[in-house]
Amino acid sequence: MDVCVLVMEGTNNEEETSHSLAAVGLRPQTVCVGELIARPSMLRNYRGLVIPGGFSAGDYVRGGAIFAAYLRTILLELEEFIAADRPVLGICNGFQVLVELGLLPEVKTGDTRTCGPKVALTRNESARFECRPVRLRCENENLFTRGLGAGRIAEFPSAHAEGRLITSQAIWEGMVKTNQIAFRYVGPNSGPAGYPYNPNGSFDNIAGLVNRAGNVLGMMPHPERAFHWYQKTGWTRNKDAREHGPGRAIFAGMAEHIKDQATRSLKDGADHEEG
Amino acid sequence: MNRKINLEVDDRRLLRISQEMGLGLSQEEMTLVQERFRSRRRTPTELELQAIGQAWSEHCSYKSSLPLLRRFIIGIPSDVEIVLSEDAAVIGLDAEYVYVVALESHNHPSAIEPYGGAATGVGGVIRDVLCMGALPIALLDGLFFASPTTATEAVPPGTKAPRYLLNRVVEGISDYGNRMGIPTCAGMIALDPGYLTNCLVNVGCIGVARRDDIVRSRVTRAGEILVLTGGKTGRDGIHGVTFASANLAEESRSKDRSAVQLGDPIVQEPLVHACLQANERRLIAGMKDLGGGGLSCAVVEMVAAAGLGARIDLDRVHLREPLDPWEIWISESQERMLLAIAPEDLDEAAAIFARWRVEFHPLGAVIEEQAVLVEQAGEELARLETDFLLNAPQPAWSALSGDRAEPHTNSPPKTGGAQRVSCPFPEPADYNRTLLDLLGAENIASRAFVVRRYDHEVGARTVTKPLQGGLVSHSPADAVIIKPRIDSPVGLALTCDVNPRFTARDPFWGAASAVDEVCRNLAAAGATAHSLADCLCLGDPRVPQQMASFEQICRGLHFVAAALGIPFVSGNVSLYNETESGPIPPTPTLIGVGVIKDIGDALTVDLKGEGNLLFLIGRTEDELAGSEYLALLGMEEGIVPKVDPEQLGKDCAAMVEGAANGIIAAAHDISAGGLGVCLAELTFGGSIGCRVDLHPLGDLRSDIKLFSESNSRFIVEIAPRHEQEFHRIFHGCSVDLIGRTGGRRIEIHDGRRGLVDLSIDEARAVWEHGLAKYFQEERWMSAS
Repeated sequence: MDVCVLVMEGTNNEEETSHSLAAVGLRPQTVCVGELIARPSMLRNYRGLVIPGGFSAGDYVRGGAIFAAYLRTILLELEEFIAADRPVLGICNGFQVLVELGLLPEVKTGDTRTCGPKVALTRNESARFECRPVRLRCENENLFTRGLGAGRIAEFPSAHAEGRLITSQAIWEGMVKTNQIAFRYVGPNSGPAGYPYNPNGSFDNIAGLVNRAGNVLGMMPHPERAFHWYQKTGWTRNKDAREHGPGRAIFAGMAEHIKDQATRSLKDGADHEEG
Repeated sequence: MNRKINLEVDDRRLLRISQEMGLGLSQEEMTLVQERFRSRRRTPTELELQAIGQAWSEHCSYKSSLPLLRRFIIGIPSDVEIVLSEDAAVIGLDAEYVYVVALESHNHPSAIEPYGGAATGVGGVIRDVLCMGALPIALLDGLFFASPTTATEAVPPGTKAPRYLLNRVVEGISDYGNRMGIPTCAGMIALDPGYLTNCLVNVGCIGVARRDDIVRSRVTRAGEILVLTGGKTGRDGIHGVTFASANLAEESRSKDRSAVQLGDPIVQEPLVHACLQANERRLIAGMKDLGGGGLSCAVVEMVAAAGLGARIDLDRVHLREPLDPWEIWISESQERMLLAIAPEDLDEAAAIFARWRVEFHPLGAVIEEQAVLVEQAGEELARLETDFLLNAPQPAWSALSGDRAEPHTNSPPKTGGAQRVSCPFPEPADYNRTLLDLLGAENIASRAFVVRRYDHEVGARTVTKPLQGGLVSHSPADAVIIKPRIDSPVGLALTCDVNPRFTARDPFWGAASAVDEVCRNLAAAGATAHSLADCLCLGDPRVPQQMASFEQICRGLHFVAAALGIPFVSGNVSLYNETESGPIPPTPTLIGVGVIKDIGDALTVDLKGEGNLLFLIGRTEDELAGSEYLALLGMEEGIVPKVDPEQLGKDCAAMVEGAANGIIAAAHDISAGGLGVCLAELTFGGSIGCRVDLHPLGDLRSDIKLFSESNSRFIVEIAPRHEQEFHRIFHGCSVDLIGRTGGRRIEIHDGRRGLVDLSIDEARAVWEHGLAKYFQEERWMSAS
């Protein structure tokens, strides 16, 4: 049940992310990117991978660019990990890393290593960092969002300076066709989201992407900050309803998937995935 | 080069030496230094004199302020457990945990280089918390500027435009705090012409630690290794402390860039992890951050606290650029920590820092002799006797005004000027207009634009937010509550307050009002005031008027805090906030930390339901001096609000009990803009209106009822079914039923007379845009 929480200088959401993982029964292990690159085979010891939010290497170049540059050296191992149906979650800066790596969105045009990023998460339309709650519609049911269900609308905190997704018409059409849009920002009465409901000006109100197989999820808003009842925006408006925040479902879905996998591999009687 | 400096010269020449070397020492102080070296029969080195200049600076020694602090601020009796008070204060939270409070000013650097000055202020105060072995979990900031509307012609030469300063300071705090992953969740911005040439940037940090993880800022025994870790040492921040201990002259506003440090949060972020991890494994015997005075102050203070000394090899310091020995010794380069580590633990500690890719350099060892010996290439550059360095001579002006009567202590607050027959100005013809003008006034208008630039939720501990209510519309929080422990319902409420309009007009009651505001902000969140931190910013202490103000400030703070038994646990004094244009208004910025036993009981400002009762707690007096209302009218008149600490204590206790019993739906304290602004702000978050009648407030003129800023007041929302319970809990408080919630309008009457009738949307729009418009054109700024 070990999950790799991958960090580097400037990653700073690992504590609450690890807490969320632990709270759904997983065992988070913080790994510095240097350690993983020195020994990429250690990835096999983990059942899942999470890249938390923060400002890796300061994000002075571009959100996630330096982190992704390190990880590109072990892209083969990462792709193997994904192909083995292990869940990979990138939150905020972690989403930027997955996009920089070309892992999200997944565009089948050959070898990902030569293709690079397909879309960009670029500077917010407001040209500044903004911390504000947003309302998301879950657009895709996958291992992470099983507990939410497609069509569910829920509030998550968001906090970033570079979350505006830009892309080309062709790639966007491909993403829509292959059902890779995981979350969209929604406005009042579930209508289209103008600013500030869409906090960054993201194209087509896209807040999160998922790969075709549904085991790589990247999202700008923060599920790990919407885990407990007391983290929700405006919980004091309805103090008696102490329901979990919507973020819990995402980690719980990940845990369930990992447990299912473990049970299945036990049933198979052979630990072929470890091979 | 480590020159020897001949001090056997006449007095005039002595002062010249101090000035030429940038020591910041007065002629009297130079004479003491001269006598010291004469008695030791030797000639001081450049490095030795620089070390003395640092240690004896106002910033490091508190030489002007200490007598007053000792008398009024330090040691207020209370039930609060102060575990330690070193670089930061360590306060008992429960049986297993402590919380840590630090508050620092970074005023002069921010006036010169606002982005870097503010950013390094944040970095420094985080390290103050870290060096106690605590995890930093929240940042707060108090910012003071002139109005962003100040005309360019009115800005004196060498001064940066207030609008530029405001934008760049906010950017600096945002960039550093966000990159560190520590939420900036509370603070204040006050705009007053008195800060035109000398803005103030006060930064606070709260941390949390297990009791057994607390580390001292001192070495333990001889033989321990002193290790410098973190960023490289460069030529930034040379003479930072002496620069902060002199008036900010026009020339230095434009030239003293080298005294401002450069910050890099991405060096500090892994440093925090490495220090805490090494501490968790009990590898750190002592830890201190390098702040003002650099290595010089850190080494000397750390060893002297244990009655020991050290031998330091400057060649071991990792440099960013070639430096003279004295520069290495006093550089204030950022993101550095000094660790004391037992020799047998050194390798294990080094491995942890290597894992986080943080530099780690043993500089030397702790020795029995009570002196710091600084060496380079085997040559002794300095022999610093710690007792001499740490006992700065007290200047004459620091003496207390012993013969002066104690004018205010124990004097009961007067009932104000309610008996006044007529005001010297007419009542507003259009109350709607007046309330809208106040809501859009730059000291009242929404700070959301700034608050959203700070990540106030990272860490996932922010339980009640700085902006409260709906997804987009919000009321401004009185205090923010964070949850320091994942496994306990206890919460810490945080607020940052002072009203310089009050302190400028009456330092005593202004300071008393600041304590009042802290207490009521915490109570309005459902928390009990637990501890205070003070950042006392004033002008030139050599000017008698300034020291007199300082004394009144201290007395005012003491008057309320002592009566309520709330201790000042940590603080900072920043003097010399003065230029050719004059001194700043005396500014005692306070951070208040409150404790709430169960975060589930937290109160927020936004009205929750229709048909609930609105009660006013506290008495409204004719106390208009320093009010936003008079500022709007351009009038000077009346008295500054007074404080009745006993009543304040009762009101706050009732608020906390009401919160714990779950009978208060919403609460907001009354401050700038008075009752009128308070009511409007209550409606913004939930878009629920109110219908209010001021008749119960008695015979005061309606504008005084609506806009007076009398202390110790709240408005609370109570569901009708809780009314009886409410009256039981608030027995002993002044309570008036003033109206009901409901609708989409803000309606205020006084008896039969209608005063205000505004839609929430209209009022909110004015409030939201009042200050935000000065941040809109920032694209050109970030591009620079």
